Amino acid sequence: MDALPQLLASAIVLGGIYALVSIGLTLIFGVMRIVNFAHGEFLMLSMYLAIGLSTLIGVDPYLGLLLAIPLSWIFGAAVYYTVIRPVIARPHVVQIFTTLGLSIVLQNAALFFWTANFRQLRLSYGDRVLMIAGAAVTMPQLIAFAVAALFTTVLFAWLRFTYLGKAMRATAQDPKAATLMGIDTGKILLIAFLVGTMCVCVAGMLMAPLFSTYPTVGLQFVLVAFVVVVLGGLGSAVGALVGALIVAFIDVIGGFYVGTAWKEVLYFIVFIAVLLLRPAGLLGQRGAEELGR
Amino acid sequence: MHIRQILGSRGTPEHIVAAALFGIALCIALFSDNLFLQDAIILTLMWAGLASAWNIAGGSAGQISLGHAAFFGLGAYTSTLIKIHLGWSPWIGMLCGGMLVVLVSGFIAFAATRLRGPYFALLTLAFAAVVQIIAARWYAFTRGNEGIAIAFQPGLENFIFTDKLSWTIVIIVYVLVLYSIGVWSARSRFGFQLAGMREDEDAAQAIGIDTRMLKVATIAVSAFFTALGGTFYAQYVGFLDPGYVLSVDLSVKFALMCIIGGLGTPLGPILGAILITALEMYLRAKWGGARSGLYLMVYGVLLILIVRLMPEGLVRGIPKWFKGRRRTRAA
Amino acid sequence: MLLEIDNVSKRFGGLTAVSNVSFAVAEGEVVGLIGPNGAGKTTLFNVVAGALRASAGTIRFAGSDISGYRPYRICRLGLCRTFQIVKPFGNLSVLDNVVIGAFTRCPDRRSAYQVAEKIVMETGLARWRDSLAHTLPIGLRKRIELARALATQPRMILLDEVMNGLNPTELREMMSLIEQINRGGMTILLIEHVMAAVMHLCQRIVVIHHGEKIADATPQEVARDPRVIEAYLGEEYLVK
Repeated sequence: MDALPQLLASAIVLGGIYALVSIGLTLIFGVMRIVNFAHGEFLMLSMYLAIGLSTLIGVDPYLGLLLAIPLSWIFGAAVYYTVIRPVIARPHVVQIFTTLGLSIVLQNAALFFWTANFRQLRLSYGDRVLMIAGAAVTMPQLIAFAVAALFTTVLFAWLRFTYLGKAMRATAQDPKAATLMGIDTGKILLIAFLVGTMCVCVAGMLMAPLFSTYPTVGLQFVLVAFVVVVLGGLGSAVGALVGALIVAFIDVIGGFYVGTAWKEVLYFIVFIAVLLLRPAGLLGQRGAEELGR
Repeated sequence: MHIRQILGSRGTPEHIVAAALFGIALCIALFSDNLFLQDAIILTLMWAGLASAWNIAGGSAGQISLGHAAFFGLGAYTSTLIKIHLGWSPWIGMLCGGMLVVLVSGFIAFAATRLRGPYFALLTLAFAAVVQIIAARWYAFTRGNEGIAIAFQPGLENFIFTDKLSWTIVIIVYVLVLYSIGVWSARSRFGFQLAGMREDEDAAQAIGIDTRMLKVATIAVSAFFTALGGTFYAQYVGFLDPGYVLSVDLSVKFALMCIIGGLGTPLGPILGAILITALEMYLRAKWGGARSGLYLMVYGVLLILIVRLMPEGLVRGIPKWFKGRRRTRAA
Repeated sequence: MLLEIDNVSKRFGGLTAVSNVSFAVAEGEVVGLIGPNGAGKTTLFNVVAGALRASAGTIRFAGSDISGYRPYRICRLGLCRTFQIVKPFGNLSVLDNVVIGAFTRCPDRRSAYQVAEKIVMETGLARWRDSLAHTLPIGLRKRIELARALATQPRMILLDEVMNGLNPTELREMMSLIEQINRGGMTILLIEHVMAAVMHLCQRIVVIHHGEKIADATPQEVARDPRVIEAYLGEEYLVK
């Protein structure tokens, strides 16, 4: 099994990236109870941002994070106030189609402005390969994993130890009780959305050197993100991490045996199975899918 | 406001509008020379029917499906592949496709009964994605991404007509059947229980409504008619491209037409289809060639605005708006 | 015995909400289920009504075992429940709410409307017949919920804190309504905190504390039972 270390390495790197994409999604759902169907488009936009920064200012995506993160906050706030906040307490129909509509708008805006051409961000050191335990890992892969791991750790620490982090978890558990405790849930919702957007933005910047960028790239990864999030349990950040690793493994190993054409079917089947058999996922709140809110 | 208003069968005004629309369609088919116009009418009616079919599950029962394109595509592919491999008439193939999706959708609805709102939507999304991938990659069976062209062999048994009038009649019957279903259900025990389930599923169960069976029934019926529409599309348009016929965009389009027109009402999907088809033709003529995607962007914005500002759709929104004006004028 | 609850327990992971509770309700009785907050009363209701599955024990209604049945089936057998937090069909009129309940037994619109109109009249909701449920105050919404349950023509109803949040007038009206239904032959098991109502309406009271049954007797006996007094006074003490 020569391929095993290579597969493992790929899976771990991919897992880190999937985790970053999915944590944003699960946070937004956990705190706001809204499924953000436009999450993939946020990813797509940040990948284009990476390319843009590289072309216009000559900055590589890792350094560019310093600029991208504040930009993601501004973008997130804009989307929150115009699109998300008005539908927070509204019925499912309204919420689903609002974020779906946003997804359509963003996808086609990208199509309009940047055409359907596939783009690829190439870094000068992008082809440098390191051998780690028998697996060949490119520099962008290594950096992506390192940054993702670091970012996720910081995020978990923030959620666990800071006031805002705890307030967010409290709001996710019981919004009414949280208000009674003096937590400004309105502000928390905004912050949750911004954190979620920031996570997916970072993920996109890290992914730009690794994957092709095109207007519908978000679709592909958001479906993965949903699989991860449902598998791990909507609302559970740890669940997203676990789910991401599992899905990444299925992706890489499945892809190896079944070929890229069919591996997607594989993780959709996992997705459907989880939804039907254990909708709460591995670590999510049981019954959340029945209570809806 | 009575349940009949919520369920859309407000009686005369809606039926008059519907009858007028059908009448106009027939007249154009019978008397007009304008092929483009006749084609537009047929397509609009087809979308109206498909939207009405989606409405049964998404509007009346509150089961938001984002995967109806799967049923549409399955219907289209089933009748087409049956004709190619077995030589049977597409009419029979159409019924086969219908039965297939009834089984599949019924199973999904039964197994997914605990899933509410976005969870159910996600399931349908995943299901449609799987169907699309299989259709696009299983080259040996479905010709994969290349798609399938339906040979133009006119004849009733081949479900291919040379004159627009025949197509129009077939599609009008389709839409009429769906409209009637909508009207009947609004006044029936079934419709009332459906309304209760839509309002509050737990309360509905507590007063004796078997919500699981209701969901299975509505989703199966909805899928059945969607599949029928798929066969019509295959026969009329003559080409099946899995990238379109099984796409999320298509599923969203069904929903969009119902939301704009009026969820859960019989007339709503028809109005929505007219508006969306007209809008699409206009936008595509104006911008489609130059840079694609612009008209879809308009869709997206429309979706966001309508679902937020007029979630009950035009069918209920317009009369409400008129009533409001009348009141201010009197005051 | 119309309803027999036999050694029923309900556990949620490590937490035991209901522990080995047994009692029965005879046809035509009004039995009260009381106990301090969090004692497990609503959980017990949920198990009986089919919303939750018992971890142990059986429930029999009219002689047949209904353990594990789904709520709609239990309702069709003749046991209907109301919710502590009311769930009327908000966007529908009062009459339509009740009609939907009536449809459980009535096969067609005509008979369903007949039954519904009668019940709307009997429960004093006639004035608000055509109003949308969500526009009405809590007292009326509780009545709608009751009316809707009655429309399913049950043999027994489970009332979950139906007096909660009512002002004195509404309370009196609700109490006389319950008496009226009972006189008509309805068996009632009710969860209540309003002691005056419980004492007045119930022929028997079952007291639950920390998931266990600690008393099952007439109102007078329960009022004197030292364990009951301790349960209530003890709780009050802790709150202070």
